[in-house]
Amino acid sequence: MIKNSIRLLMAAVTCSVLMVSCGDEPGKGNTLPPVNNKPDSAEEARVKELQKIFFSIPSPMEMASLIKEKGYGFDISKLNAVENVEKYTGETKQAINLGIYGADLSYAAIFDEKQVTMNYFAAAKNLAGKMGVDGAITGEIIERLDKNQENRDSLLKIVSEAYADLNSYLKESQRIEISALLVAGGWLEALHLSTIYSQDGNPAIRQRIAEQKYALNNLVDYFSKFGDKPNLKEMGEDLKSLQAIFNQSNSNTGKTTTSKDASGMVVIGSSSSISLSDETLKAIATKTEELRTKYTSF
Amino acid sequence: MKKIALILSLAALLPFVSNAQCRAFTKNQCLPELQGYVQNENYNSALLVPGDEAELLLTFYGGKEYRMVLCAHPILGLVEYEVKDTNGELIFSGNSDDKQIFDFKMANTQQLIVKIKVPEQSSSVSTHEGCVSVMVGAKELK
Repeated sequence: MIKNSIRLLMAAVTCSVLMVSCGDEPGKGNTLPPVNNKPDSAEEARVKELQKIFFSIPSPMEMASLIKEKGYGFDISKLNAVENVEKYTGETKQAINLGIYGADLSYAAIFDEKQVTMNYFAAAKNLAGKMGVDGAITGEIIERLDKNQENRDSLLKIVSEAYADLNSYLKESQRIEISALLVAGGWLEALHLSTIYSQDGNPAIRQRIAEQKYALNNLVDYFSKFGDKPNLKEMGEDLKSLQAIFNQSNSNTGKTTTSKDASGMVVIGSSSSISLSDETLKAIATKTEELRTKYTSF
Repeated sequence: MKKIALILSLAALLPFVSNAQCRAFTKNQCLPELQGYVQNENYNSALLVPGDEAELLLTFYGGKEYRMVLCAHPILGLVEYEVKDTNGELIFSGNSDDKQIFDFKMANTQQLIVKIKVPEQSSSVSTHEGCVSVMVGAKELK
């Protein structure tokens, strides 16, 4: 009886390990997950539930792209210096700054600043290494980055894929809290950059900042799902304090419309609107700066 | 006895193995569909079981072109998905078999909800987990 159970278990384990190997090869066929009958402990069950949550906010790259579209120039002094990477200790701060470096990396890539992009990628990899999560940043990604330095479009794709890969790696290696902090850090840095560029009154950037209310509500809701996890509590509270300011924005929910353009593509519109008063924008900029300084200091 | 201990410790890795497969599945089967788009940096994949329902709230910026891709492992059967606005108005629906890709433009910034439904299992055999991914890409910026 025991022998049979052992054989069955060995077969399951062998199959699982083999299937992972196959799945990791790009372009290969589907991989079938094994039957998972292992009883979960309370912590495993909690993590498993969290892993089932689908969560998304717009990436920092989308914020940075608007800054470039509006004709602003690149300014390295606005970023968190790569030299600081060695100074961050403690997993929470490292995770948040990994997100911040990711947003800075996106900003540099959008502006086609090749050397800066490479430097920030190296800083992010270094920090990921210190946290023991650099397994997601593979030699293949670094090789592609090296080969495609001159091609901005490829650079953007590789950077976004690398961060998506890192997020998936964290989520699946039971470090989902770290992933949440990383996303929050990246969002905060993108907001910080936008508020700096909004100072001359550009209406499009001001509007994009107002729209961050949606992403922030999503983030706050996501953080609340982790309960009282100590490493997320502080960021969760800080996001809530920022949310209180965003709640002063003027918004209304309207009806959604769908139509098709000349090429037949669906166009989704809405009469919903959101806007910020000068005072609210200023309060958001001040609070964002305060939080950004808090998390990038060492 | 040592052999049993080794096997049991290997068996403890099974949930991680399943998750790693989901990551590989997403990368191999779904990511190629975002050719020509820049992938959102978030990771929207999860291991679901028959009967599971999941929801994803997404923000899309006005003036941009997007592609949304639903990928589901065939072991789960015909996974259905719907895209609705925050008032519950249906905008798009499809399943993992036919319409997996939804291309659209946003006239103005809006939040949309993606609802995913994994069909109930028809037989009483052991429940299988399967990977479901919702991938979003924005048109490359020039």
